[in-house]
Amino acid sequence: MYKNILVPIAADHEPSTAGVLNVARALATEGAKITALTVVETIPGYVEAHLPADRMAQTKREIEAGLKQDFAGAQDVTVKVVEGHPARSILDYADSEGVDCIVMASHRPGISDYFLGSTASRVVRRAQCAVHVLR
Amino acid sequence: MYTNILVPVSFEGERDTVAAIEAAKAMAGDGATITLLHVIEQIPAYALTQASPGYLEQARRAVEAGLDKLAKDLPNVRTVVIEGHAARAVLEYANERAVDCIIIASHRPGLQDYFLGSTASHVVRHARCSVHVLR
Repeated sequence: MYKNILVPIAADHEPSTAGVLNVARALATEGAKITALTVVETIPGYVEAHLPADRMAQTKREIEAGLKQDFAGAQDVTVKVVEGHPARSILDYADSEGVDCIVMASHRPGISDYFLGSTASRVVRRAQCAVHVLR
Repeated sequence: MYTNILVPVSFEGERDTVAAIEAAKAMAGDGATITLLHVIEQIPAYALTQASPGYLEQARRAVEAGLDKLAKDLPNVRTVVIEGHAARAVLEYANERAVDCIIIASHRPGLQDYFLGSTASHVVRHARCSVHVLR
């Protein structure tokens, strides 16, 4: 029922991405686009100044390679890595790419898995499109 | 993929029940049960004494008829009407009946209602199962 599905994957995600992918596929119409997006959190300038010059670029490449590996068996998934603030970058990406559904795990549900992770919480509040929170 | 799906229905104009049922069908696994639930807000006793006798019964029957109409073409569907506080009643029902996915409609965040509707927001935050928020 959705044509353009975004699946945000945390950089420190659990080894299994099967759950979110199952939901995304169940909700996808034929020929729908599924994008796995990882946001690399921006490092403050005063910290970055102490790192080797290409450190961020290299980290981004490593994360992208890892993500590609995780989704190696999934031909229908496009992998994308961006830099920024997690929730804001997910929302910006969804808006600019015309995403109609975001599927994400409630990351680190903590205290008796009662509360939502902060990223999922912000995304579900502010998104313009449908959001599926997986627990 | 889910076996016990709960769709709270509010019968308010803007809420897209059709899309919620479509999403339920897309995510229902083999032999899954779909429950259409309406929560009747409790009316304070002082207000109820002003209403004509039988008013509550009548309202309840109208709601039941509405739910049955929505349920007409669905397999394995159950319709339930309960009284209580909207979000709490939805969560209690979900916990008691081991619901594994709640599908809830919300409005698009606009300038005035930038945030989620309060019921959807409470449900997505406190549910122990997956929650799909439609906009």
